Amino acid sequence: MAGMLEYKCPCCDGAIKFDSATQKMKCPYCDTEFDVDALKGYDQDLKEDAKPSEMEWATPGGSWAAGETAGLNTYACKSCGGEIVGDANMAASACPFCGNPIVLTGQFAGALRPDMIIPFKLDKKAAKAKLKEHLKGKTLLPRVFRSQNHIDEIKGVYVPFWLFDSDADAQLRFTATRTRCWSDKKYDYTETSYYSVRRDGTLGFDSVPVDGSSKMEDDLMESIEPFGMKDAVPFQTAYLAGYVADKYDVSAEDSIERANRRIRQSTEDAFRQTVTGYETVKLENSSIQLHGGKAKYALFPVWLLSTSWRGDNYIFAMNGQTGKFVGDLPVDKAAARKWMLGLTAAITAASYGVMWLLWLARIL
Amino acid sequence: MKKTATRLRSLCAALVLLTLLFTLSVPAFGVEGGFADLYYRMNDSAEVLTEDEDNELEDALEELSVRQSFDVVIATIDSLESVGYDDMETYADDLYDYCQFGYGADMDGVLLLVSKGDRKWHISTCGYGITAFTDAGIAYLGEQMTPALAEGDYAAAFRTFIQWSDTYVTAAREGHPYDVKNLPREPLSPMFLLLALGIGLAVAFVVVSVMKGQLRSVALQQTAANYVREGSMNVTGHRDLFLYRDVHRTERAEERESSSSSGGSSTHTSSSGVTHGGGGGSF
Repeated sequence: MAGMLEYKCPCCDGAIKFDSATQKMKCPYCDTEFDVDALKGYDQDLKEDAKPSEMEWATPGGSWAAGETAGLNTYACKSCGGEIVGDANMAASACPFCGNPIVLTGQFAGALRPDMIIPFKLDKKAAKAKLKEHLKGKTLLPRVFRSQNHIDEIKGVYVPFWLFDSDADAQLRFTATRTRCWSDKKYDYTETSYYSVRRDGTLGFDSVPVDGSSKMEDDLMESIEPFGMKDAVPFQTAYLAGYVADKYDVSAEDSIERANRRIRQSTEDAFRQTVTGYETVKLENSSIQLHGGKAKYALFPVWLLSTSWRGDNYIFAMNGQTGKFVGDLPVDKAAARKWMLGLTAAITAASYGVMWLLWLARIL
Repeated sequence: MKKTATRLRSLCAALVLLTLLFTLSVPAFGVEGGFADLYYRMNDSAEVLTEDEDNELEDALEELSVRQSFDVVIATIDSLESVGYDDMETYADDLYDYCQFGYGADMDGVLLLVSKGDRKWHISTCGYGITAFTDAGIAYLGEQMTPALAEGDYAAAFRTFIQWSDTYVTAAREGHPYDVKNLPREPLSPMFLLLALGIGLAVAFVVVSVMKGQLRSVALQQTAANYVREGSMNVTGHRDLFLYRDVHRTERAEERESSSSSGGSSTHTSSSGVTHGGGGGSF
């Protein structure tokens, strides 16, 4: 059973959390700041302190149907004693009663412990500002969506990612053509020369990320890439305080196919670029072997914003490190029709005018 | 009416034939005002027109000729052989000269000769006609007439001829005869309106698609280009092998001669010593 951890301020006993602006742990009550590294030892002590919690509950009333509780865990908040219900993968959250940030230590124990983490660099305010920016300059966004837009929920999430390192050995064969044109008095000639082009080589990839959480849409997560590994630090549970975190529920083996596909495409692209001096280049055959593959487990910071409009949910994601903001928006169908009609009319009139001018100038 | 007309016309034809056959060297005898009124301007020897069409065209030619003081004449023959000639130009010129068409001292006028059997047409011009009907103008007129001629709708072809003759003479009198650089033109075809609509739709579609594209920012990544280890690319083998070549040749479009022509009218002298212009073609 997972234990639960609250980082208490050594000064005032308030619940402290990670502050993205200062990149330190900060107590929101007395403003005391602690270096994350200094907390490493403290973290260690806390873990040793924490005895496996006894969590035997006598559920009042009816009993749970078999399997119904399988995905659910309940915890008691250490500050207020309120009951926190979370699914089996929840690793960090906040108490719904007192709002204190909590971290469930058991989720990241043993083999499940992430190798590294990129701490949040941008805070909630930045995410809100980015959303505003995201809605700007979009002609076909319904006006009402922009003016009535209110965020239902905004949360900072550490999303589990698998990072794959790999070396690719590639043997590629292309068909390429080169053309030459000339003419004499009677004929125009076009000569097409066909070449078989072969490229062998190696290419290395570092930390190709694949979303390890089934709750997160893969396309949403891939859209906020890239994450810069220069900011990655060894994992410490302290970083999770104040955010929501899940552990992975898609295994590395299941994720590797996705990484392979991207690595394969990139390798082909990279070697194709070495085939120069031709008019057309077509890949005929590609044989790519990946070896030296290593998988790492990392948590990446993501701000998730969700809103609903006319019965549909819209989810936005912001890269908590770089600030890249993505999210599909609704289309104002009436406005799109108006633009289509207006533009068609205007451009038709303009091009017909140009045709008339050409006709008058005796070109047509 | 038709009977007398036919008789008169046969008389004219007989006269022409006689004159041509026996007195080829007789010099043109000019009579003030010409003999044009003696002959019908619509001279349908090949009988390709109905009586109504014949009368209608005759009236139109008469009205036009008098109004413009410029003779516009149409003649049809069964074939060159039937009139004992082997050249459209010569026969057209001679017919014009011997029938004394033309207004004024310069014998201003134009004659359209159509040979039904040879499927040929020829326009002979004289006097002011040489100015009004340039080579390019005659070629264009031919293009307008040949479709109707080819279909055997002679009346329509002749109506076209009369209409354009009127336009040509008017344009020439205004000082800018139809020529290489000043040919009558079709109005802009309605096809271009459709084309413009097509362009409008295509561009609008692209623009609206781009606008819609702005609203979509979520997509799977296709590559891992961001994660290539720097300097790790190593090409260990490369070979560019030439396989074969093939050569296509296409004939070059011949440059259009008309674009190099300076325009104007070419002239020649007929057997009776009169200067004529003109040109012709087949249908």
